[in-house]
Amino acid sequence: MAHDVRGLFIALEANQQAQDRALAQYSRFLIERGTLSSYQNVDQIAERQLAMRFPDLVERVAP
Amino acid sequence: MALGLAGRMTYLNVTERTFLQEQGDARSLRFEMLPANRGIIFDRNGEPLAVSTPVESVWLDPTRTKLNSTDIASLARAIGLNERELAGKIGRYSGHEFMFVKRRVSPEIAARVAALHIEGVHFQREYRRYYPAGETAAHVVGITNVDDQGQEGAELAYDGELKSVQGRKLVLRDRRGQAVKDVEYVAAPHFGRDLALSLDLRLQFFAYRELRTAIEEHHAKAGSVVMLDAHTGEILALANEPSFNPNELTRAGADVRRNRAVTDAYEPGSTVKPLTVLAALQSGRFAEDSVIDTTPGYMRVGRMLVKDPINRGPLSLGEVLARSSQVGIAKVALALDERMVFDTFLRAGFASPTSSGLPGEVDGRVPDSQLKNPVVRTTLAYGYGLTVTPLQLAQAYLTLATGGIRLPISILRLDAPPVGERAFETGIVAAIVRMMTGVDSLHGTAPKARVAGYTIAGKTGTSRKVGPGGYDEDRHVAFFAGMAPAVDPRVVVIVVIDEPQGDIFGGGEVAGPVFSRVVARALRILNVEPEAAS
Repeated sequence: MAHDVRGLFIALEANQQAQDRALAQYSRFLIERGTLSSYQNVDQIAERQLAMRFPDLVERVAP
Repeated sequence: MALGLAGRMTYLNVTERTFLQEQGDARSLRFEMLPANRGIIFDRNGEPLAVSTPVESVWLDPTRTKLNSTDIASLARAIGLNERELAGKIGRYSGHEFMFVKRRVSPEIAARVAALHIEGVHFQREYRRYYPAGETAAHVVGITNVDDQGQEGAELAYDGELKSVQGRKLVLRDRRGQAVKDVEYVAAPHFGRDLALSLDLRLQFFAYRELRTAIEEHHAKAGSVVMLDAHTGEILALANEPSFNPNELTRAGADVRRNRAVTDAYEPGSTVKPLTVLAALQSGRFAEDSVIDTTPGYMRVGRMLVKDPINRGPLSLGEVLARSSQVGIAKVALALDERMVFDTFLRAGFASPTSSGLPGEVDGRVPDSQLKNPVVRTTLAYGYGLTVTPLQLAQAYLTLATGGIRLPISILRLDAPPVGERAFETGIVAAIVRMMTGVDSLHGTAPKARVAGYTIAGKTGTSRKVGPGGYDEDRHVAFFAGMAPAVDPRVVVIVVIDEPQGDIFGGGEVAGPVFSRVVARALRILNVEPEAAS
């Protein structure tokens, strides 16, 4: 019985640590995503690297 | 690496330290922290706006831990500190039981320190809040203080939902750090709830960029742009300049941290004229095609001279609005009952908070104590003698865009459209919006507000600011308030530029182009089909 409790406790602690690590990684991924997908970044890549420009005329391009 | 070591780090609270360390060597009974992070703030599409990421603060107890010079050298190197300075600091703290070696280091640095296996060097978990959108959305998202409490913006308004509380447990561990027994769960960790704001970061980005460009171009003091979803009253963008980088707080003074779109009330000038004309139509004394003779281009009201730049002669009610004739509006106002224009302003939402929930929101001021005085009624009708915030002005135009339904303003993403309240008759509002569509024509007051491919409806405003000696000839606030497309509007946009310098200071010239650029981007991003004849 005592052994079971100890085993469960170790499992709980491992899970809590795994959760903590996963959340920490998630937060870092989110920050990275926020930086990469910022419109500032997207706009600059579109205009400077891909030579795209904002169209003057608006057209319907999809049905 | 960093992740694998996390388990080795002990999270101790200062107050419990002595108790722990006085326990025996073989086994120790410890309070340990169960970390919990503050809720994440997202925009309406799931883009992160505020994210807490774990950092470690490195500490030691100088009374118990005596580091040799090798340890100090390697510790300093791992953290990137000056070795001599660190040794000096440890010396100064020799009588203290607690000393931070370095606060809030990255997990990578913490892992390097942990890998040194220096006995007595501990870690305390803290969180650092990152704001990926930086200055772009700083006022709406807000900031937290070092204790992770919301101080401004959504961080403050929704602190109750966002905040987290660390859990604690009492654990018996052996010398190797292995848990022998979980003695007691003192408190379960409480994770903060995530929040989805109504903002669309893409629209926010363009609103902020175009606002800043215009402010630089006109050397203006400040400005705001508000964009509302015309169907739901959600704030899609709310930008102010000056702004600040919430990731480097130390540099930001109170002035740049102010969310001017809700904390600053301005005299709205001609942007209220559509509401005056609305009051005229509601009274039944005027129709869309009623003619008002503005000859000779000026008139006296009491001791005040009301004048237009030129004599515009007889104008229809619609032309009075399109040309923004002061004389025409004055004649309309004086033909109405004392409280009619005032009541219309109140119904449009002036003088009451917008319910956005944004901290620091002011009500503005629409006094009714002197409405018996024709001068007061006249000036009120063209936007002087009252103050409104840019967000209140946005709500008033939203009421026109919805066909007369006043919607609550929301800074949170809504799952369903809110229930509004009818403020004005649909037919009358439709007539007002129709009258506002000529604003971007070549003869209108803001040809530069034009958006290729779409018909817009709007109104310019240029109000003088009050100086020490009354209204100042040289200090203005330039406005453009409008909606697009004119039929079934998708967005309502308010642009306010405070104190543009130089010869160009009018709402049409200064604020109109910002409206045009922001709306052009917004309608594409929101997939609004252009009109056939573009």
